[in-house]
Amino acid sequence: MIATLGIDLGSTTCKAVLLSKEGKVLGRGITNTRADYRVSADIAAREAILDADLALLGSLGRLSTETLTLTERRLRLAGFRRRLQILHQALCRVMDRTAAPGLADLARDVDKALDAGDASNGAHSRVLDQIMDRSLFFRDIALALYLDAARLRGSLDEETLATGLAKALAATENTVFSKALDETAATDLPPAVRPLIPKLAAIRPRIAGQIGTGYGRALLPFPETEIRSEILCHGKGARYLFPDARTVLDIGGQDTKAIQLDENGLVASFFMNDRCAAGCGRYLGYVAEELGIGLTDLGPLACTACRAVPVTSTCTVFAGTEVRSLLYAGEKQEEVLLGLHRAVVLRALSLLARSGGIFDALVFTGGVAQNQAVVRTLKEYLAKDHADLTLHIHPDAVYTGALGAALYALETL
Amino acid sequence: MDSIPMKSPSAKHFQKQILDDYFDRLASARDRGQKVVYTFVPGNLTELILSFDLLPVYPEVNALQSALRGDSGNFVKRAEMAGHSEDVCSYVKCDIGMMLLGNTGPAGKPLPPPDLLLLSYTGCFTFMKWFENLAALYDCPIALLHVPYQAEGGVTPAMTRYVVRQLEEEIIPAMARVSGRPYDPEKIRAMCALAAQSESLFVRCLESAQHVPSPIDSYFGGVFYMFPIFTAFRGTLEAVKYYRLLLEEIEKRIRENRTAFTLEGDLPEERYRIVVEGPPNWTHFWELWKLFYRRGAVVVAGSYVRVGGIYDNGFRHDPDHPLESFARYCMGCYTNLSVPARVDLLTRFMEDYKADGLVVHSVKSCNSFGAGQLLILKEVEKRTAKPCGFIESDLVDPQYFSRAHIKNRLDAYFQMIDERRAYHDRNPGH
Repeated sequence: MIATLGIDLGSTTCKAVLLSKEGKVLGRGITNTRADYRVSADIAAREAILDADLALLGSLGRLSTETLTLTERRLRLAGFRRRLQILHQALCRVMDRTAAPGLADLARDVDKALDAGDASNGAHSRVLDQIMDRSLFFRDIALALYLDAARLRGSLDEETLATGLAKALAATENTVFSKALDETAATDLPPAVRPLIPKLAAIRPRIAGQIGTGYGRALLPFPETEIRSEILCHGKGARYLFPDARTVLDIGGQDTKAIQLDENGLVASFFMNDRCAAGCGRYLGYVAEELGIGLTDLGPLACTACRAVPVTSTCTVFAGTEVRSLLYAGEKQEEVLLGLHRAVVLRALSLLARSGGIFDALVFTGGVAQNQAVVRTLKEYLAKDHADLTLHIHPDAVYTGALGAALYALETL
Repeated sequence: MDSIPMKSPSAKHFQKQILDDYFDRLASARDRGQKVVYTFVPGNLTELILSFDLLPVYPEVNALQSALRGDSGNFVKRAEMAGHSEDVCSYVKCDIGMMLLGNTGPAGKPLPPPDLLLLSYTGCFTFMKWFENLAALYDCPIALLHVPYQAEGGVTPAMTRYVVRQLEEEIIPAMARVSGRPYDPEKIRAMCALAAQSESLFVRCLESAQHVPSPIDSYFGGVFYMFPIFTAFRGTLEAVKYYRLLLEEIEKRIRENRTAFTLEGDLPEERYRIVVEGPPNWTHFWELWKLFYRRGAVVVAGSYVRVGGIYDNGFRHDPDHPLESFARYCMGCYTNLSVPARVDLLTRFMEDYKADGLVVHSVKSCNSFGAGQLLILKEVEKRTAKPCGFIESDLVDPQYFSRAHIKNRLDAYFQMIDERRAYHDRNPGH
């Protein structure tokens, strides 16, 4: 079997999609974009291959969903532990020597938390749920584990530890060590899976073509002929997911794109935000950081509000200070946050208007399409002006660009 | 004016020669007692100015040349120190900053202060505010020529009479007062005849880009071709000689089937033929050009090389009706055209020049170009079914040029063209 690989290297996350020759999605991978773009692309690709491997295992051995989930949990936990070891070593290097005994205690506490999660063996465990959650990455989980452990012990200054962790994480994240399934120690895997591993290599698809796209595409380790603009890739991916797509709105980390497709699915025109990432994922990320709220908690929190406090949408940094001023003035946090999400939607609608409007079916893609407060607000605005419009949001919306890239790679075969 | 002897057979060298001579004359104007008129490029009245033996200075050209030399950032900052806001046109700020910092011209020689500000209002309100500022700074008189906008898409006899009357009653008397000379109808007639010759030659140069491959880049290369006709030389023998030389060189390129000239020699392969709407960015002019030609893109036509006046529709200065032709010329300049007329012109260029698409360059500073650009883009796209792209920067304020963003958009744009070609190859008949 042959397959193609599409990589979408965005400013926040790097996505990979593995596609069969027949155009079927075999696997998806995602990781946070780190300083070394080559490592980002490599990890996302390995994640996609692992995802495809798990699906293949299912078909090979007619494994139950429970066994497959357990296999994935084991694999991800094993990978997580290996990264933690590297993080710990890096942490010892970057922090003051006097902190070493305290760090060793923390590492043991973190291990214990993971052991407890592992022992739950399928029962609810917060840390294992986080490791399995594709929208959370190693850095988010490891940082929280260490800081929680330090808080409980009260042994290390939290700020010093956070600074050390930031440095150590940068070093850890730029190292490639995620392994393919057949390289994983057999003891990590459920017994029903072990005999299937040798067969996996024989049926695993060979990657016969690849295309890179996204914000950092020029820095991908691909030749120029294997690079495509994200405009084309998002257009193509959206059309694949929804054959009636005519207008595509993509809100990513630093770009908002309004793309118009013609009746043949070709990009007819596009508009992108210029000069400022206001209204993009970074805008939400920046405010989340400022307020000490997790990015994925931002949307649900905003959805609890009954009214939205107006927030400007022209500048990310100004919005940050504006949000603080509003909170100091006594406005409710959730209502300010809803205002912030409304600002994102208003900016996107302005870009859509400049690109010529919305035709027939609007496909919303990119990481921000997973934010429920943005989606809810967008629906409210569309209901006012475009009552007959179809809004499509695919569960795989974040992979649209990588999917488009893999589709372009198919054309090169 | 005496004709300059031609020392070099190359159009480029001849242009340099006449420009050097022009800046020398400007530098020594005060000492020689020659009076100077500052004026604008769109719808300029160069023949009239020269006929009074006045020397024209074009602040827009000084600003763009300052940007090409890398000086505009300082000039803009200096004007902002003097109180001009960030949102003021950067041409204005560059010009005022240059003046406040000693008024050294593009050739490194001091520019004389104006004896008259000739403000031909052709669709740009900023022009009025610009010269109001200069009038205060230089303590100098202004002559205002109000040019009616072609709102209905054409020029009526009443509009022409309105402009001619202003020329007769205000502009010509103002020039006579400043120069101390009377209006010379014979000289004007002779200059209009020379202008018409230059204009016909200039049109032939521009139309050479209809050839495939195009022997010239009509935007990045074209801005150098347009200087003589839109600045101090139209109506002189020098301009005729320059365009004759240029046309000969271009026709030779066509005979040799050569592609457009770029900064790195001839374009290796003409892959995309583009029409561009909007003025160039001058602070990163060469970088922007590279972003086009390194992808094999040549600009075959555009609005900017017509910014001073449009000759494609048959207009020529008329020796038999000079004042009427000045009026029609002013009213016909690109930024004085209605948006539908601009759409018609660009659509025609797309067809006549066998273009693959349109790129709109929107500059923060210029409302005369910017207003209507989105509509123009959509209309041209609708009428031609060719991809249209949009990039943004500024004229001469360097902080508004983002190479990464422009490259990103141009990458996507050229790939859109590739994708359409591939689709049509796979689906012939579509």
